[in-house]
Amino acid sequence: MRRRVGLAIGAPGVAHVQAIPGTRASYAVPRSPPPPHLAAWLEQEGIHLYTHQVEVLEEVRRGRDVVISTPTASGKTLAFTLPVLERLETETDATALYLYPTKALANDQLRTLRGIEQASGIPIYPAVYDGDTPSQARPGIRNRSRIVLSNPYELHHVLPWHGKWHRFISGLCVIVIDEAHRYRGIFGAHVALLIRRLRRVCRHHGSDPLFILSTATLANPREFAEVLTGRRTTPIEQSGAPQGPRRFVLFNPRAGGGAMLSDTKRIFLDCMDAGLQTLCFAPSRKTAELLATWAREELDDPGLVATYRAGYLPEERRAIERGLKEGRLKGVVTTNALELGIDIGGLDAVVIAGYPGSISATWQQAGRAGRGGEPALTVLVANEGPLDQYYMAHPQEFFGRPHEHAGLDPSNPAVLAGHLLCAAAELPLTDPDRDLFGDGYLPLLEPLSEHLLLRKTPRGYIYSGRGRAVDAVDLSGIDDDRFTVNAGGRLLETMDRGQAYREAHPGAILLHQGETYRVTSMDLEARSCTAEPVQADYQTQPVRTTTITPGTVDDQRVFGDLVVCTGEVMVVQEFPGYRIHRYGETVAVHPLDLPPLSFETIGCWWTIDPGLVTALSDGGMDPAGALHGAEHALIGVLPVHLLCDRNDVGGFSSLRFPLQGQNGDGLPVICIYDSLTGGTGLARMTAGLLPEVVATALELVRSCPCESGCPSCIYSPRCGNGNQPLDKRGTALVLESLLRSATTG
Amino acid sequence: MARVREGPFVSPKIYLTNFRTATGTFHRILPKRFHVPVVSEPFGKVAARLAGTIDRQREYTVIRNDNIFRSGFIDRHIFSSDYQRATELLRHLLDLHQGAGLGEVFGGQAEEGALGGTWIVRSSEPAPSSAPSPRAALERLHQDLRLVRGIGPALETRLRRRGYGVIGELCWNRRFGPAARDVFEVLEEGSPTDIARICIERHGPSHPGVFLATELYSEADHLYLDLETLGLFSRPVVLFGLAWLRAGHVEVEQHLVTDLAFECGALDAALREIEDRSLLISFNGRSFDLPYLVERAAFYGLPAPRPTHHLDLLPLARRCWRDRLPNCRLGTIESCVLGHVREDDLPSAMVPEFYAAFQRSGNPGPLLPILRHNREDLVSMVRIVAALREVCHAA
Repeated sequence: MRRRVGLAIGAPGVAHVQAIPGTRASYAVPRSPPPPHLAAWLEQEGIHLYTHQVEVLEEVRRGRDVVISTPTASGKTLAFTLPVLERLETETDATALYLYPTKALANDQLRTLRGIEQASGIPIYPAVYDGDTPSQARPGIRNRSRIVLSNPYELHHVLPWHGKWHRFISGLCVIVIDEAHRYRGIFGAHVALLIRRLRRVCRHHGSDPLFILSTATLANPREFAEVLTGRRTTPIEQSGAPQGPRRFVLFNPRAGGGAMLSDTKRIFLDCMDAGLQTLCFAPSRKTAELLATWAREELDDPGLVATYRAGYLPEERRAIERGLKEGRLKGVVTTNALELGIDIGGLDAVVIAGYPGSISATWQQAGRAGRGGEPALTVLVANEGPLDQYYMAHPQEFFGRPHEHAGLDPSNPAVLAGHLLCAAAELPLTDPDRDLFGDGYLPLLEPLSEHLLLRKTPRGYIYSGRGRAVDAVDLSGIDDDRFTVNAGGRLLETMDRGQAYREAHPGAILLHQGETYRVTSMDLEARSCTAEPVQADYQTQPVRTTTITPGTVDDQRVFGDLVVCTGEVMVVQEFPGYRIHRYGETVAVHPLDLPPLSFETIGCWWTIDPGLVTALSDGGMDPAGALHGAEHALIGVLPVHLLCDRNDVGGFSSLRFPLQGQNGDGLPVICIYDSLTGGTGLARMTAGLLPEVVATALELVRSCPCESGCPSCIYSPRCGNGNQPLDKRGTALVLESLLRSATTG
Repeated sequence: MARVREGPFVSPKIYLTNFRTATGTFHRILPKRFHVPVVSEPFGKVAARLAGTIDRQREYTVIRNDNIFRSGFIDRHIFSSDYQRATELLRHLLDLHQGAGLGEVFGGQAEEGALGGTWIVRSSEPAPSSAPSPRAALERLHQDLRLVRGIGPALETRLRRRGYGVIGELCWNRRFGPAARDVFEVLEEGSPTDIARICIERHGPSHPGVFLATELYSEADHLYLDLETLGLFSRPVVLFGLAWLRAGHVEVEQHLVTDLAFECGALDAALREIEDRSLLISFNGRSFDLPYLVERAAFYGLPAPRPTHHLDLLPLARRCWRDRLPNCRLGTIESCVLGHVREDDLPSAMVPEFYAAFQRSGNPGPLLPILRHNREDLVSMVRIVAALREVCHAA
């Protein structure tokens, strides 16, 4: 039945074919055997441990924290559960906490743990404790469960009640943080501080649990884990699990003259035609439906293709799972966002429409294909964006070692302040807490006391506000300066002020779950916007001017002749109007009446040799367009190096930078800053990686065949100046000069 | 990657500077070991913004147009007219007592001793003429055959018909003798707590027997407790209201925390009072006041309060008057059962706002209605005990 799909090197659109040979399993045996029940269970299940699983066990036995960053489907769950079970079997009072980013993941894991408990006879009483846990079940879980599965949001609300959790917390020996790479950026900063609060409460109740983290493959698992937990951590990156052979095709519709969606449909149909059960990932709900509809139109039996999206009922999921198992379904189309939540076992092929944003997410999706000895097929169909096009032109970068660094910055004062209040409401803040929260918390004590939120007492600082401290902290954001967008009395979404100014100003066209709305009014006092559904054949984009005022420099990096400063920056954005685009053309500009938006954040900046500016002018190029293009290209490729979205940072370039009294006053400059108040850690990390980011950006610009800039290289979809001015030739020269100065000396 | 690091693991920030770079190594110009961000201005802003967020939080809902119907659905509510009145009262008090000292506004004196920060206000008023009658209570308890395990309502009727009037007479009954002897022994020699335990086991926490058991304590052992706090959970207590009976008077002693730095000291004093007296009496204390004290004690590392006997009036009141009253809030019982209507009472959910007004201004005016509200609560509890005494003895 299975035939080869016509995706060989040389076929139109095929940018690269990577044949990845399979690897054999490598097994190991623990130094000393696990305790009897656990050993019996392993034997009964016929489990042979892979090398990395044994490594984790041995490290935990030595009392060390571990971060596991082996590939998808390498048995990570068993790797962290094994040492937990060992402790639970040998110490009758021991307990463990499993933290998952979502409720669904915790529930999946619960089933596994219940199975293990039954088969092994180790008393675990595993339970999920989250917002859905009925209140009558809660005391039982607190008093009895030895493994509690929860999520950061719930933990945040549970910590103030630590007194009721004394049994569980005082016995806590291991804290497992699965999918830890999700805790990056501002969410990561919140979780990092939440973990410090948890450690503080543990210390109070007399326990000192170890941390086992599991992450997607990262360039910096150890650094990431250590920032997240604030503890020394041993990384385990070598997987002992076997891997089947795989053919990975990078497909570039641009090269073949096609479009992403129609090419995805064709490849999806070809795969099914060749007898391969295929899973197709689409970038949005709407495109998923579209792809499925198109595919059904060309199939004799439309019932062969199903769509799957988040929010399906369990019965619907089961029906799809069954259909695949029984072979009645040949293809499933799903949204990019869905990485987990359905057990569809191994399929034959995966087609991914558009780069999912990170290498690990791509592999996670690709990992859905592969069973037995047959080679699995993965096809990544690129879109026009710079990241997609970069990897199409540089496949060796895609298949090389992971380049993405995950980062977070728990010193963001806006985030830290909220958690300090929570901590002070849990137990008085005392001097020993400095080693958990860092010295950064000291300067916050006074202003918080002035606002009557903290009070110094003989026993330490206590929380003295009259609201609940935990309610003042929103784990997924910075503060409560959020706008609501309503349509017809229904809440569409909430967004922070910056996003509201950009996307929900009066007259803005707003896309929400595939529907088009036009914003009719915006109330700045009440922080609410009203929208109505429309059929619009145009898009809107705000005109935005940004000015940057740098503050104190707190770090400098020197790469050869290139000096990168990191520090506080004041960003002021003005929104004088918005453009109306129709078919990519600006057809009108309307004025807007919004107050300027200003926020303090962390940025990194560096100056450009004024001689280069002269040279650019002399060469007939536009220096401002060259700097602007370089800024866009750098931000465009940032996700190659950092786990982030390009919207997480903002950029600024200027031919004359006002740096009062500092070196470089009045020189040309490029600045990249965190787009959230107080900083998220991305700009800081960018500073440390700048030469690499510059090299990647240069590669992107050089390898793009366009004449004068396009969405695949130096155009930015969010540019406040409508991508004006831009000069592609000059951009390349600016980047070359940066790279040169970074490598000299 | 070589890492130079010794000593305790302090700040993780240092790792952020340790990234590999493909193009070479970098040098840190500033030889800083740990990263202390030198940002000055944002801290004040951050604090101000958090304060704003917290100020906007309310743990109650204001019900528009005093819609009684809606009040049934919303747990903690304030009618808009009361809210309006309280807001005006606050403004008025701030005007009236501008620049006044604590003693001028509501009398009392600073706590003597090392701790300070607590202001004690004492007052006294005649108590209702009703005293515990242990003999009668015990008699009633002896008559309750159902305290014996295995005897339900039907059986009780049958046994009475057969001439069994008190538990003592059951002691030599073939079937119930052993169980009856156990109960008899507790009634004769056990502590009131043991007696109450049997009543709760057999009848639940709202049975008149639970009240009758407390009649065995002398009035000198009673301690009435009512807390005023900055919120429903995990925030400081600002007023510890205590009361007891002496020589036909209700003696109210209110420990007002004028500086939250000394909450711990006031808490300690209150815990000592609880320790010293056998019977703690509260209204809804089983779910609020006592757990709150337990939590605050744990917060400060003080031993948890363990009252010898705790009588929560709420379940008893509920059982007695549920059928007559729209709800069993303290205010409702006061007006419908005790025939007492408070004037200008401060809704307890608004205590935090009034206290905050004092904190911000230093003006003791806003504390006045908190003290008054608390004192009325305490005095009402004494009256409820007297009312329950009548009902329970008659039951």
